[in-house]
Amino acid sequence: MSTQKLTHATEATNLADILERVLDKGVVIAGDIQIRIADIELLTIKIRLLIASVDKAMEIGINWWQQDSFLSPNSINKNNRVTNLEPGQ
Amino acid sequence: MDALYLYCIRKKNIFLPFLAQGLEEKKEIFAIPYKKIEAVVSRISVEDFSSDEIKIKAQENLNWIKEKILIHEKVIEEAMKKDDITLSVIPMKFGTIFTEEKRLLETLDKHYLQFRTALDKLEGKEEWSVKIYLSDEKKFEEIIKTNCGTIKEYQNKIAGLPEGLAYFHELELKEVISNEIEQRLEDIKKEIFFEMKLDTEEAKECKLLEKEITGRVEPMILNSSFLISDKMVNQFIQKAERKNKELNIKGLVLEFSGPWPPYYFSEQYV
Repeated sequence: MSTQKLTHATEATNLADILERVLDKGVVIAGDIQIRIADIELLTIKIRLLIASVDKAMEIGINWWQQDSFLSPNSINKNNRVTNLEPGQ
Repeated sequence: MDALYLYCIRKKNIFLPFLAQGLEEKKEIFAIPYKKIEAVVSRISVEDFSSDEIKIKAQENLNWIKEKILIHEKVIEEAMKKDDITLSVIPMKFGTIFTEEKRLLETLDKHYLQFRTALDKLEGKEEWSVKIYLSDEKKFEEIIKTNCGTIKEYQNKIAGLPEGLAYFHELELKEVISNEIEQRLEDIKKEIFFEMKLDTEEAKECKLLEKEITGRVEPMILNSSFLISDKMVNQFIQKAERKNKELNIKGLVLEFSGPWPPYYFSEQYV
């Protein structure tokens, strides 16, 4: 056999590969204790582990928070303005 | 309270000390034998690994979890390596814990036949991963535009139309192109999966991983796992390299990695 070493393409792919397998796959047998992390939290963990910074996220084209009214500074301003206007109406 | 963290199960082996550390610092890896199999474990403290504690750590200190996940993987990789051969192992999902040795032995007894069968079936086989990414979207689109008859027809038709009318046809054309891209990617994905599957023991199409998980700009087109007889691994690698070169011309890239512990192919036996 030519290779015994894991052939990894890049660091990031490698970590994604490991997360995909260790957290989602593998055999489940009933231990006394099974660490349970709900699926949605699992995804959050995976995302947070991989995207260490906003720059990195922007680089790969992820910017959903800019459209999120709770997270985007612009939207917050708009919301504030509306709130401020309300008493005068 | 002390507990046992289970990494994987393998056939009983001459036990060599592990280079990898256990999940908890300074706790070495050891094996608990049962009949002809053994469980690869290390000691941990239950308090540090309770679900609640893990949830808190997920909020506060993700690096802690990342480190533990990598250790889990490293230990199993070491457990499946013996000189130049890959031993068959049954990798556990992250976080399988037993409060005492007696309870672990009971489990080994209860599932003994399944474990033995799985280890026999996995013997002499390796799990490999193949992924395809669309690395150069523009290049891919250009090739489709030059080769697709329908698109060419549209382009010729538009060229002869007045500006206003051409606009609407251009919108239509955009949709035709995007459908064509999707269709071609689907064809390529099926074709490569089919060709890589030849001469393997088993093949699985896995869930595509989101950009958030891969941390890459390029979208993933195919995520697949293969179980390959160790005699066929070289051939598989050569095929993957050849396919990658073919795909590069079209703006795609194929990446492969392995041997992995059989995370995808041991579930079905247990």
